[in-house]
Amino acid sequence: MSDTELAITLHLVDPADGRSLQSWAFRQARVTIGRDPTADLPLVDPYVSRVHVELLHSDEGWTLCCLGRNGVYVDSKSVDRFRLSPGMTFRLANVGPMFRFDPQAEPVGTSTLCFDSSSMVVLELNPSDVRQRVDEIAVTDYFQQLQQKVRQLRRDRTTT
Amino acid sequence: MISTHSFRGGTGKSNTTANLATLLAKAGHRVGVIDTDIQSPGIHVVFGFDQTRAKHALNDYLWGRCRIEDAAYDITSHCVGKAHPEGDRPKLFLIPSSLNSGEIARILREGYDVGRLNDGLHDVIDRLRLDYLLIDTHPGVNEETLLSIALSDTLILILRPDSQDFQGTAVTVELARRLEVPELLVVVNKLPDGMDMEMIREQVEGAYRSEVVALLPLNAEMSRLGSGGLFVNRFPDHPFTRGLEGIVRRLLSGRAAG
Repeated sequence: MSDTELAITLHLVDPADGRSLQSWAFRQARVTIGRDPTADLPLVDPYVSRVHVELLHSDEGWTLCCLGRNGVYVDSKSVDRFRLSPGMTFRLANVGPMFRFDPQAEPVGTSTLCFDSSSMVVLELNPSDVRQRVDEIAVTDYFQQLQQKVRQLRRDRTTT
Repeated sequence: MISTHSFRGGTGKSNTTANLATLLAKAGHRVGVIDTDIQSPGIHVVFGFDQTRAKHALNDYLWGRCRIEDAAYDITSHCVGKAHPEGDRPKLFLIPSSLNSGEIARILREGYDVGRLNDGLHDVIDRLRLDYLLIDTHPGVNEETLLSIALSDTLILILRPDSQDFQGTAVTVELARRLEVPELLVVVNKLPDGMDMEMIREQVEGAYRSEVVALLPLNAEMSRLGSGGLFVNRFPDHPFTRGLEGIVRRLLSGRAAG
């Protein structure tokens, strides 16, 4: 087994747009992801089991095995075992963190094996998406009427 | 009037609301809790309230079959304990939603009169002489939750520390602002061990421009208890209980919400 076959990179990606948020490079035949600090890729997330995913290398390539209570999802379908192909994404629990699998390491020097657990919970906010969703609701007749009604109610309450 | 709301289910909203109401009552107040999560009522379980005991529910009031106070049940002795049964305070009342699937279907099909719910909320505060009325809402944004939010003096938004909740809750924050809700408080619940609490607080307060009143830990004791039982009674010294006490102090320092 050549060493290059064992070189993989896992990217934590934003489920909304697939943007890579953080990457980990490995060069080994078995990689575990889980909440346990001894996992190869440890992460703090309430949906993630102690050992949630095991990636195993064999002659056929890389296989993903789900060991987590909340399952692993590929294309929104729950999977137990799955043959990984380059660029494929999978998600721990249907609402948990999403990863992209790349079968080669990042160029040396750009990967971060050093891992700070608190950096995992960077809360991402997409202001334009928020604005759009707010506007969709705010333009409805119901919302407009409610807005007027409560304004009236608050006025009544302060005057009575 | 205080509404608790979350963008998604599973944030521990009903649990937080029930325990918060219990602590508010224990602080010597008359507190009512109303379950406006008509589609999936649940808070009665946390209170250990037997629905078969309930002759009337919120649904009956909304259809004009009873007065709002007829659907209110005194759960003080069971949930607050050691209160004088004849005493005026503390008092804890629950107005449950019907578990009857026909009733639930009817609400979903026909909706209900906004004005009537509004009247009911004010009437129950007057007639039961409540110091605080807590409204447990259905997760997500729909007409019912918008109404409860719109009517509140204080809105407590509960979220978990993940980006989906963070994003979704931002929508509710903005809608609440447009509805001119006077006070917006944020509770981050189910924080896993080892998470940097101050970093989360900074991120949430920065993005929402509202106060984070509590960062509550994800706790194994709560999971074991499930939704069956009041956590604050069972674990009075737990960090989760301490966090809720912080919210109670915050609410008490504000104006009475009746």
